[in-house]
Amino acid sequence: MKKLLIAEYCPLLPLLFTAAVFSASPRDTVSETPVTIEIDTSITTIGESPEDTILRLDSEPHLQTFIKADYPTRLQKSGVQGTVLLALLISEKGIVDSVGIIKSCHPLLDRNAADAAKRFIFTPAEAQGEPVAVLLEYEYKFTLSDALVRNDASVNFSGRLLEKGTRYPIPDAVVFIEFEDTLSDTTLPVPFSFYLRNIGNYDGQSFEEGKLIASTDSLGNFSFRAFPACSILVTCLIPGYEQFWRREVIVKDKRLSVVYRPKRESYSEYEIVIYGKADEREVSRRQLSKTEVKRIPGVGGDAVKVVQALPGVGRPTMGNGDIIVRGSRPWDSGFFINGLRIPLLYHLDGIKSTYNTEALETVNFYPGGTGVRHGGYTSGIIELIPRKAQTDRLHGFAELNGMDVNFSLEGPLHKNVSLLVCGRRSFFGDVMSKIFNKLQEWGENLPMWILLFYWDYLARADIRIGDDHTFSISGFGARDSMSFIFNQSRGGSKEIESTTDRLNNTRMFNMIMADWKWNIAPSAKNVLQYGLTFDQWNLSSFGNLKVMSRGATHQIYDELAVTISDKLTISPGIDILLNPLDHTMIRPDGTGMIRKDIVDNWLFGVVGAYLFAEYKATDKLSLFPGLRFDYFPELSYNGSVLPQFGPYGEKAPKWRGSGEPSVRITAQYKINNRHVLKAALGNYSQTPQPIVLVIHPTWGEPGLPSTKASHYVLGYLWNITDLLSVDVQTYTNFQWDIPRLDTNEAAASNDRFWYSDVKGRMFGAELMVRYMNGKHFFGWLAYTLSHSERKGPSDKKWTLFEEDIPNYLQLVGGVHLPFGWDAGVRLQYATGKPQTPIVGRTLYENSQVFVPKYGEPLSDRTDPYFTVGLRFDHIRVKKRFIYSTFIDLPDLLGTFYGSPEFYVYNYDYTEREAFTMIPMIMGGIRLEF
Amino acid sequence: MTLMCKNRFNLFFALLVAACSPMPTSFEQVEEDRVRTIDFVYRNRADTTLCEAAPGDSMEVIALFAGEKVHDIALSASFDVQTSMYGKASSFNEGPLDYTVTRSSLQDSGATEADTFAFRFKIPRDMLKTSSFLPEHEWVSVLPVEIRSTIPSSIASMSKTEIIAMLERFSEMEGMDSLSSSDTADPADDSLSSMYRTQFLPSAGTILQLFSASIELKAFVNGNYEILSYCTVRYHRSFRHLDTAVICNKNPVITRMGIYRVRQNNLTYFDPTIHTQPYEPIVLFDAAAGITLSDYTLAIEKDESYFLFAESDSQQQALSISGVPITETHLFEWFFQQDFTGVDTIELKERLSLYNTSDGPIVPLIPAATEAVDRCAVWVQVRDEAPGSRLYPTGSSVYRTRFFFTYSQDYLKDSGRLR
Repeated sequence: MKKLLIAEYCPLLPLLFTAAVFSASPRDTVSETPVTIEIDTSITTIGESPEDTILRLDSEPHLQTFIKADYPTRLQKSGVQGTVLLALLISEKGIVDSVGIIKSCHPLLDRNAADAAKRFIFTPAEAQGEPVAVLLEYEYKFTLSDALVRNDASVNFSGRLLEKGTRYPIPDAVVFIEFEDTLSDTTLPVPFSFYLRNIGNYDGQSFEEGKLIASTDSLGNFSFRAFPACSILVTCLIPGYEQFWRREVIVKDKRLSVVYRPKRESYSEYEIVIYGKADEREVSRRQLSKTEVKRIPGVGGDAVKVVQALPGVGRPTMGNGDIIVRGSRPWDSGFFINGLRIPLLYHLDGIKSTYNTEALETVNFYPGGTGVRHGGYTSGIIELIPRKAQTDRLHGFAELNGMDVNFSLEGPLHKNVSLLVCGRRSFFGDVMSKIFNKLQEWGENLPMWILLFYWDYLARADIRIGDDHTFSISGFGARDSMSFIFNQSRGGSKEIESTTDRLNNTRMFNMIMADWKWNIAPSAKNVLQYGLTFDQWNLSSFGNLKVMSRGATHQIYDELAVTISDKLTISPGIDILLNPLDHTMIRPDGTGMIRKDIVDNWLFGVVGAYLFAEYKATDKLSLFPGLRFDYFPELSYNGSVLPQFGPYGEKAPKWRGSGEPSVRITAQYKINNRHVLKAALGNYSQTPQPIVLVIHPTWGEPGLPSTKASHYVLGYLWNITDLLSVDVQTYTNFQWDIPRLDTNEAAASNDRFWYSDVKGRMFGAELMVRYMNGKHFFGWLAYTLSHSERKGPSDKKWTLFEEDIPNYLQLVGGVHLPFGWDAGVRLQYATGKPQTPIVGRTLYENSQVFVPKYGEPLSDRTDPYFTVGLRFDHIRVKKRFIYSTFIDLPDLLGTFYGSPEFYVYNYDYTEREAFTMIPMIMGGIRLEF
Repeated sequence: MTLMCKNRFNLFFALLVAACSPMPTSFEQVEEDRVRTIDFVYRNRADTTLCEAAPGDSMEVIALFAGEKVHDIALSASFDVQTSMYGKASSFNEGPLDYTVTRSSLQDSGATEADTFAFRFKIPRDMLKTSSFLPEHEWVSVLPVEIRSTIPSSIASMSKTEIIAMLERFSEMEGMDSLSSSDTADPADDSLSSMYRTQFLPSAGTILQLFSASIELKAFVNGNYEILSYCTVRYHRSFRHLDTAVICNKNPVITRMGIYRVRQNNLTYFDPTIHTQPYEPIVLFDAAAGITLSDYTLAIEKDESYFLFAESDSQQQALSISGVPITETHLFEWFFQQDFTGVDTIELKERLSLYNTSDGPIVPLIPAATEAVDRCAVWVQVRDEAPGSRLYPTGSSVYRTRFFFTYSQDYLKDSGRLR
């Protein structure tokens, strides 16, 4: 077939040529796809017979004037888009003589494209130097995206996610937008779905599965652009939070800003309180979170008192605060804030710890086999590690419970300075006072008044000086006051106390602590702590006893840790406590003479120095040996030069000073990541107890030696899973040079009553199976099997000690319930406490007092102790604060089975009853922000 | 002091005290099936008002019992007693006591519930010499530090035996006044007189108190009840004329006893000097007024409270070891024994009860909740003490009475609630 170059205008003649699309630059095109025309330059013959030669073009036609075709809005909204393929006959003058539809898109679009194309103006094509007419194909594209106006990409929906109650910003949260109403915005030029897909490409947002998605930044902010006017469903999916969603309405040309407050699934996970060092240097390793602490019934949310729920700690009498570690006396254990000794651990002998739990980061409990960092004690150690003030913003809480009001405020003062202040004051003494007054008004003649009162405060400032220095200074103090007033009381001496109708016991201290941590070098760190404590104690008892004690205690603790190599770190340290005490005791002696004993500037203390090493012998085996020496300035005996692991003090060489060396070593062997073996041994010493009385110049024996102990511990830890673990420990402890009061030695000169000739030994095993604080549940089983005994100089065999509790089982658990409820349970079973039976009595006629005659010491026991406690907490999370209430029932079974604490006897010891505690109920409310 | 549950009157205090059930027995209640020792009253036979003895004196101990009938008493004594600073008394050389026993009587209203025995024995003259109550030397060290220096060095350097000999010499010399004079018949007495005036007198009170020792009497009653009682032996009686430095202790005496009827119920404490509730004193005994009411009948009414009261004679002045005047304290012990008619036994909660928690002269009497309890006997013992005085002799005495009860119907109806 002969190909012709059509020279004459022929609008109705469809011509099939190979068409080229040429690039055009229309004046206003919305098509992003260029329209090009290809010209087959092989066609050169026009108007000639098929036998003529085809002309080749010298130049192609170029579009000079582009006319935009009308793209009807209704078609855009309907989503109609596509390409119309046109055939254009361009004359020698460059005008379009005729337009043909080669490929249709839509009839209306076809026509509009053709109409527009008719008005195109081209530069004429040329062939052999002359303009020629050409036919070409032209694609006219109609695309929806062209209908969208770029400048609509502004943000019109933004917001911020803040955690409900705490107002913490929530970063990296994913925000989903679903559009529920796709028809309300009639102004959209394109179909809704197309619109969304298009705006899904804008910065900061994406389109997936019909939803627009964005993430919050570090401050919890999110934003969306170019939303159409419609209803949307906003959903926030955040791990650890309850699902959150809201419906919003986007209004055209208006920006919507919101603040959302998703609610956490659990609100008490901010601090972790660790029991037992998290590091490997100590055998014990137990962790408890603050949530767990607060859910355990009967401990009042007190992080120190909860130690009583762990294995190795005996059950105290009447729920007081005594920490009875492995069958030893409470005064054999030490209590520290960091490395500084606390003057008073509990308010009123066990109600609450004096250091506010809210200000604690960690509580370390070492039941035995501890390292050389602590000295002056022969049993366990409780070490409180305070936390720093929060630095992000102002935080606080206020709490009212059955005992006291408690508050805290903390936050940043400066970018490098933060401050924490908290305080607590009991109020039940005020309530009781009002009740007493009211009863008197009502005509009740009260024979007795009881007034109990305490407060404590803490203020801490943390200062950061560069990256290498951290400094903190704290003020910490407490006061306890107890008065029992018996209006009808008689007796006593006004020479001892002017008021003989009451017992007053007041204890107060104020403590300043400074702490400096210095990263000297990458391989060297130093910790320096200083404490100054002003302490006073006043006791007067119905004109029969008066004690006044005042002291200003200086404490210095410094440890330098030097990393020698990746296997070895050496830490020398000093641990000094000096307490010059002014002590006055006024009391009648056995013959009635009133003795006023005043000792001024009586220096007590512990002057200790130690050297500690951490040696990683192999990948699995680590050793932690240490040497320590303690000097006791209040004692006046010749101390041993050699560490005493047994009572061989008489044979050991002496030095002319009252001090003892210690050797302690801990070893850890990691079988694998889940199984760890630990062992520890060491010797310990302390000033004889009860302190002051035992070595009193008048009532005691100043020349007594220190009491000593040795510990041998084996431990095994099995981390079954990340949450489930089993911890087993066995121990054997020995004590000797334990003081003994012997009043049978009634020498006329009264020259000696105290002797240090009692030995003790304690051994046992402890098991803790623990499920750590998971999302819904936590719990543990703590079982202690133990035996504690003593032997005096005239005893032929070992006899039970009064703190011997062979079996002590505790089951503790907490569960997170729906609707903001938490529940905790604690079951306790303990063998009864040893008692000495009374086999007779003697009446001391002069005072009409019956004095019992005792049978074999500690040969009897009370009935077992068994109880179940429950605690319920309810948390309501409001927008800007959290409000919670609790009720604590520590002894549910008390009504049915009164667990005996001890026996009380009638006046002549012929009858006895078990003394049980009344089941108490405690409750409280709390507000925090 | 016994531990007791608080009673119905003060529920508030019950909440403060741990739970315990009331014991069926109480200190104050005398049970007929057990021996109760009401008192051991010491009387110096040379001066029966005194409760202390000097070496060589004769003493009478009146032992008053109640409850189970006493059919057997074994008495032993130790004249060598050491008392430690912690109050523990250790006796040595205990042995049977050479004594005579008679029936005796005390102030009473004629009731026969009491068993009263009087034991008479003699204090060995050399008791203080042989007793180990003080060390032979360095006896000054027993004194509180601050008063050791008040003992003249010439005396402090003497041994215990020498001091005792000196004291005996002082007490034996005729006409103690002669010791006050510088002119005596015997030249040897001159130096003694000089020592007496210049060395002894300034610290007489301290020395005489220090040189006090105890006798321990041990009584074994009916083969089952053991009683220890102590009596002080010292030279005070020989130096009574030094009344500013040496005061002998007398037995206190009950001078008045009765019942307060207070027009308000449920009271546990009442003192007419400080409380304002209307009340009526019912005097059962008044020594000064010559009143002794025997077999009084107390009508128990609803909306009333009842208190037993006693008064004693004036409290003596004593001296501490350092010479500081002390007013002795009178402490009161109360005992009662209820009796009932027509029934064999009464429930614990229905019984008459009496609570003495303060050793005071006024104690609440909780009437029985049943009219079967129609009478009771009451003993009130007063004893003295003087903290600060070394081995202060315990003086005491007892008054015993009895009265009957009647109960109004209103009271009996309410008594179930009250209990």
